[in-house]
Amino acid sequence: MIHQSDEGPGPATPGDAIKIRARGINVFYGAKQALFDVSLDVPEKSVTALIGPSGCGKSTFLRCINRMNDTIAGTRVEGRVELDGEDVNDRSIDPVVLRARVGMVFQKPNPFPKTIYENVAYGPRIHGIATTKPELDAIVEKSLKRAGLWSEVADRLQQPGTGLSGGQQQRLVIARAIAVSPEVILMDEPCSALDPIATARIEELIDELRNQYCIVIVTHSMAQAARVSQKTAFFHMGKLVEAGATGDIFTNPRDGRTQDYITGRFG
Amino acid sequence: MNEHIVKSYEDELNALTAECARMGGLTEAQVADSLEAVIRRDQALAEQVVARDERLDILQADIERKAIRLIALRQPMANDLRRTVAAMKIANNLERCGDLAKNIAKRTMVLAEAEPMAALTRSIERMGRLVSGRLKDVLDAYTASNLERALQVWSRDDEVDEHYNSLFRELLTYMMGDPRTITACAHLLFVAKNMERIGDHATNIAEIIHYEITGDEMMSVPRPKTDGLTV
Repeated sequence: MIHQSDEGPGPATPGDAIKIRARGINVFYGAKQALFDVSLDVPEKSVTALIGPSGCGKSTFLRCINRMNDTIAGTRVEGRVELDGEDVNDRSIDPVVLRARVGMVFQKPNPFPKTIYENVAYGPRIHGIATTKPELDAIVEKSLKRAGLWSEVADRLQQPGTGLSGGQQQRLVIARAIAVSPEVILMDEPCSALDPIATARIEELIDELRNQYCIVIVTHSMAQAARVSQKTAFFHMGKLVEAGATGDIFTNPRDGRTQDYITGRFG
Repeated sequence: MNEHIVKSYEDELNALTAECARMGGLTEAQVADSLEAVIRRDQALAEQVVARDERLDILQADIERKAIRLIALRQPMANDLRRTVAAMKIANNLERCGDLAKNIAKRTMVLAEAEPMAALTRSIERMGRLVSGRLKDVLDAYTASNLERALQVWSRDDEVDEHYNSLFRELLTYMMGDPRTITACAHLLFVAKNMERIGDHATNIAEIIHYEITGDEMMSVPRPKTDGLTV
């Protein structure tokens, strides 16, 4: 057959290896149940998009992966989330270490009120990844390069990170996340505050980063999910309705609800 | 033109155009070989043409699949959208050209059994070369995004029609003169008609290129037909 990989050109086709395995996840915020028996496999070295209408549970699911729900009082999580086969909710797992392995990028860029340099150097320093100045310098440069920001900030590393444009701040935050060598990067609506050009830059960055990391992205933009991901999972009313190869979900979804949502018939 | 910020999008668009150009090359070869087979009464070559047609079908299906995927996942706009739609439409036209070439090849297998008719063969050859040349020109125009060359092909469709009309009359004369030639002449008439239709597809492709490059359709100027035989 001439028909090649379904996932288009590029070296990183989603492997068979599963990085995150979620089984039977139920999440309760007090008495209200936010997720119902969600089971999902997230492949290594690829981008998985979580889509669905507001309140469908996609962000809640994302936050289960690095235990961000722990920080919300009255939250109860049931089920297993395995990272490389290890249950992230196990007592032996230190959430601080877990969050270094599973980095997170939020909707609104949230650089620390420090210099550009310090924003990136902070994580490696407190996690003991680098201690000397030359080591930190190297990590800062490498991370900013990987985030596609180096050429724009190399001459003003000592200026505050908050002085950058929104798109640059978001790339700074991504540089900060990759500075601690995470295995997984979670992104919660990373482009919703950005203009189309800044969005395209982040999307190109995501496309590059997937060669090295497992990326899970929550997005309200179905177009973005289609553009950046290799796997898509559709959530609705706290349930996982359908998950599959992005090319299949957006050309031939199996579930009527997925079809209705992606074609703009409800949601 | 500037490249897209997202490189994989650029790659996918280029891959689509490249595959379409590759399919064009194969179609050119199929048309040229089917013509050679008729002229030289070469059954072996005709069989090869018939056997190779499936490759065009597979390529067309693949281009269509890639284009649909690109539209769904990349949401191409403006010239990107035109480029994607053009690739899909050109692949359709090429697939039809391939079918017509295959049909010519099949008729060659019958014609090779009949008595040779040198004068008619020369007329078929002249028309065939013209059509092959037009197909080649329009595909070169596509690869080079050359509007001027595409328009040249588009404006010269009359020549093919004239050849077809004169061949039509020539064939009628033969058939009236010697009814034993009717079978062969009927096949040659279809060969000529197929050639004429390949020429029409080349014109279609020129129109698609015009749309891809300019964004305007080419409906405004009707091309005059030379006489009532080309319907």
